[in-house]
Amino acid sequence: MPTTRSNLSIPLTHLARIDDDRMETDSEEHKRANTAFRPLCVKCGVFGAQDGSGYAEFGNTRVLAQITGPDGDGKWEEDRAKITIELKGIEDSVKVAEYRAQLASAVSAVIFASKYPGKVIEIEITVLSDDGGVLSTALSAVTLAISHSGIENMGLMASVHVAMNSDGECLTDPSTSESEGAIGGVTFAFVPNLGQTTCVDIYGRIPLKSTSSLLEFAKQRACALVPTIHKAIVNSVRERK
Amino acid sequence: MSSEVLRGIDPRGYFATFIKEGVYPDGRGLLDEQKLVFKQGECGGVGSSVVSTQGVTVSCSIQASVSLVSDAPLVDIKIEGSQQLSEKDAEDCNSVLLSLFTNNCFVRRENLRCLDVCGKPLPLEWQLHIIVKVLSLEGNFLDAAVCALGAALVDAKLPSIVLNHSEGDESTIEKTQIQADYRTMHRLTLEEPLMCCSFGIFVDVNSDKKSEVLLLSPTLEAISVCRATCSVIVGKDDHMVMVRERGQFSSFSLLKKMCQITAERRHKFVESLQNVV
Repeated sequence: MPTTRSNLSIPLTHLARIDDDRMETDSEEHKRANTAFRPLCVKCGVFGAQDGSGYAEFGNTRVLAQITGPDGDGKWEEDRAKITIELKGIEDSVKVAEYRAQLASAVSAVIFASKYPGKVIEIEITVLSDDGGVLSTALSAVTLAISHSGIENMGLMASVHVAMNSDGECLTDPSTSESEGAIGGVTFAFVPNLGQTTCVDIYGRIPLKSTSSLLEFAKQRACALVPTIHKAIVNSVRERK
Repeated sequence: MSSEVLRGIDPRGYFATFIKEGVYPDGRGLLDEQKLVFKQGECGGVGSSVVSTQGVTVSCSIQASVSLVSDAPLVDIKIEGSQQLSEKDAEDCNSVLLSLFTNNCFVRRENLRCLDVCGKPLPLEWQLHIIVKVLSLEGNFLDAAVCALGAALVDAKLPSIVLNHSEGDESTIEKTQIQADYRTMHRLTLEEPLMCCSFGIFVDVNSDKKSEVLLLSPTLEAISVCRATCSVIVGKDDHMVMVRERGQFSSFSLLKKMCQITAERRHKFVESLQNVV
């Protein structure tokens, strides 16, 4: 018998689905409030091998950040440290480029690079699973990694992902399925101690007059995260002693 | 302070002092087992796992595709390099894991057929795309990767396939004729999980005996003073699946001891996996 050789290969996610009807009913009952986050877990200092490591989990979005450095032989003839960011775990190369640009901008704004002249700070971010809000989760993980590494920075950075529906309603930390009905959203990060914004990534079709209310809502939700992140950092300091 | 100076000046002598007493510098026994922690089903895909052992933490996720029955490979593995794992080492481990698949050590090829709601095989096959990520690397990568793959395959749940294509039809199967029924999920029929352990062989050149000492899960620092390193993979019925050895050692009984230690560890792993399901 001649063997069949075919290039047909259909990813499972591309096939038509036959689902149980009860699943949709269950999801309606467990709808979240607009201001509530998904179940979250943050940890400062996951591994001992790295100079700094942080882990952030929002629902089914999980991101691990690891920092190596400041390191180098001093040949980098600059008056500030060079910060490199490597993003792993995302298949879409366009998304990788977008996220890396945002992460590099936010991290460079927070770290006192001029205190480490001629050094290199390498930040490696691994996305374990993606269910929406990867950029804000990555920013949270990087914040925890910076705190664990002891690199001097201007303060804790709180980040949040907020989506907006067509009726102007805001939804905090939506998952991929919850974002389907949204017209757009924002990933917002800022340093609460200074009231200084480090990342504003607005996407979609947000009306201009709704922008300020969206950002104000996002800022409030980011402030709600500060105690959780602060507690994780304090716990890691206690564990070290 | 003086021990740290000795550690820097004469690492071999430093380790010899501890190994003579039967312990590592951190107090661990030479053949003491390291804790193995695993978690399933959190990294996306149809199956996933995170395994942490011997200073190595690895995440593994499996994506599935539907394809026609053919003799093409059904499994491809992508090991993402990192600051700790070079691309060359990643390719080397990739070929090792792929050879384990082609030797039917994880799952037989015929068990990758798509099943309908009644469990009957269809003329379609599952293609598995496995993504392995290195989260922490302070030891041998294979130790955690083999267990992570086994745990992810145990965790994998695949939907039933509804094929609107009669058996006698000679035309090509179209994409629109295939549907995924998530109301009935199937688990893969697997071979028993594998276990991989790494060892080092230390020889004290200053000693009169010059005997070879077996070290279980040596640290990177200990590896640098070992004469030989060896990785042993043990599978079903405690059979030796693969042995990768670098350097030289002459005592054959050490190899048998390595397999025994790996087999004991595999039994505990298999028992834990069964308790989870």
